[in-house]
Amino acid sequence: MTIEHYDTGHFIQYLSDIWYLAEGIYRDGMRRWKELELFDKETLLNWLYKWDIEDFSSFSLQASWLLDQGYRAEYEQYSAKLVTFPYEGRVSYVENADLVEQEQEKLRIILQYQNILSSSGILAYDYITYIGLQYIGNLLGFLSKSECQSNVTTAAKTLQSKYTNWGDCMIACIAGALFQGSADYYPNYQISKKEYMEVLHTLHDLHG
Amino acid sequence: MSPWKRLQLEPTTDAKAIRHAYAQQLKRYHPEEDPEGYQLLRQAYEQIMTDIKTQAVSPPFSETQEEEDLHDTDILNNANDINNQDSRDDLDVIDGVDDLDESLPKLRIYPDEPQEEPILTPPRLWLQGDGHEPPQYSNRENEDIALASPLITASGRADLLLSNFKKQLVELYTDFPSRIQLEKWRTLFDSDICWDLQHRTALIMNLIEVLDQHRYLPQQVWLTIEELFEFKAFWSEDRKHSSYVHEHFPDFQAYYLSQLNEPALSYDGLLTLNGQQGASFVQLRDQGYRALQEQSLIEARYYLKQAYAIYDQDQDIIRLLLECELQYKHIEQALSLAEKLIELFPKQIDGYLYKANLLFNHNNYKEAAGVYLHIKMYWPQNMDAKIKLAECFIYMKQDKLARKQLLALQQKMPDAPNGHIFKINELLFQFELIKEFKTVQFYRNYDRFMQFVAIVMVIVFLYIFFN
Repeated sequence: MTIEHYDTGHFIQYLSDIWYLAEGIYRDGMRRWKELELFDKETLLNWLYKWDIEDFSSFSLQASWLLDQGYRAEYEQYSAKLVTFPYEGRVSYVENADLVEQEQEKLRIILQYQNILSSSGILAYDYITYIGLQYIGNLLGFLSKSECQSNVTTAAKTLQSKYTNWGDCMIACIAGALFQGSADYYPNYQISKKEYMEVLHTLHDLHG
Repeated sequence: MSPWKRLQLEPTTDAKAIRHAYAQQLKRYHPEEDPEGYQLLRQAYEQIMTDIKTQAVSPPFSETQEEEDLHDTDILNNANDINNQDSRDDLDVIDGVDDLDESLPKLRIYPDEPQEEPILTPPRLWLQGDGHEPPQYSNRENEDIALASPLITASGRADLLLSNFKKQLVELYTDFPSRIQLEKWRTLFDSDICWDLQHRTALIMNLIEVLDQHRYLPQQVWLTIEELFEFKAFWSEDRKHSSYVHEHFPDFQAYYLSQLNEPALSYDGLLTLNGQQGASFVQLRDQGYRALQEQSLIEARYYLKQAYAIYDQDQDIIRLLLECELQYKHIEQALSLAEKLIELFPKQIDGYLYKANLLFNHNNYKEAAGVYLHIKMYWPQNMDAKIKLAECFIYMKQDKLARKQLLALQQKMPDAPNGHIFKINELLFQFELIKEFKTVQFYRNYDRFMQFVAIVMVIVFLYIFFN
């Protein structure tokens, strides 16, 4: 069964697992969107700085950017360059070319995930982040509960149509998180196999 | 210390060897770090060069040396007709060699050469008299320097040599078969003007000016240019240089760095093309390549198709057009290009990977598995193909093969990068799910069967009972 056939309500709940895993919050015991309520407002605001969000206007701007372009635009840009090289020249380019460290890190991630990701690339990361931001925005009073619910449902439905299985969706989100954050926020950030498998099993429960 | 000792060289008449020894010593006596040492080195070099050129009774030069000397003499003969004033504005008439800078190597005069005929000064690339002045530094901190364009020197003779050098650069570039031969460039870069450190800034700026307009060269030529002229150090040492280049040749730096860093486009086999075709081909291919990198698909396809129409045996043009067709989702064209790539270049992995991925993405798992198996056999380190092969087996419902492949991957997991580990785990998980699903199906079917058996038995029992 593809993820397109899951009930959207359930699907959204399980996306929290993937997002928490990708953002490194999973290990703090966070599992569900509802648990965001446990954070005080200051912590949530601090957290939003990662996406350059300080107030309502920057929140709106960032949210629509994630839907329209997102990190996938930059990912595609780097990837478009890499695919013009012969397969065996790609590794030597990334490792030996005179590149800025951050650029090199991003290219490494692309190289690692290029042949693993489905054709939708890292779109999952942009959309799941968008969903997460909607919940946080709601808690901070940037948007009403009904607005939040409607935005989240629309984004989730799009996501369901883009990936055929949980594995693809999850790997795309992890690749996106690493691409966006590895150089800036989480140097050498690794997701352990154990955490990954835990989430995979949790998602499997959705079958039942 | 004798000039030979200073150059750390045994006496020789080989001009090339002398130049190389000079270049080696230049690393020790940098003009800025050790001006005195540099001055002595330069004097030694010039003395040696003068001596070997004026040795009338010396043993005959080799043919190459003779050609080189002819070439140097050609340049310097031009200088004969120039009045060597240091003012750039009065570069029109020169009476004779005697007026030239003392440091100039003495000329070896060839009696057959028509000395009487005035030789015209070749025009500069910025074309004097067309109403345009040579570009100048925009930063005018020092009036004397600021007035001068970095393209010209304070010496009329050096300007003339530079002008000739540029002309030769353009001529070499224009002749396509010569353009793609590294040796020809190396020979040209052996000219005296290239070793004249006093006018190095002007030389590099002029070289950049020419290369900016004539940029479709093999990577080896670019690497040689960097090795000899060190552009990167040149514009990183002085912001004035960098800003001048950036201002007047806006995309040159990026282009130059890409030529040094990116995998080279192949020039193999291009000598079979005639000059015009070859020149057009490399230009169109390069334009298509850059457009593809910038995700300008329409432009990329336009250039690449034209280049492909000129020459369809080049691995890069096939690969780039394939990538372009793939992004356009022209699957059949992409597949036929992948097959062509395999046919022409069976030892390159690209064709196989493209073909296998295309088949896989279009659910043709059986054929895709065949190609992945081939990759696995000839490129055993390639993890991507192995993972895809396992996926193929899963989709083909070849449980035994899938299990075997997944277990082999699992064993190699500790060495695999994170992304691959996730994918392998996901496949293992998926495989277990399928297995689990099959087991559930089996038990469900078994239950149904048993229900059926029970019903049949009840019917039989009732039948027997009532009879």
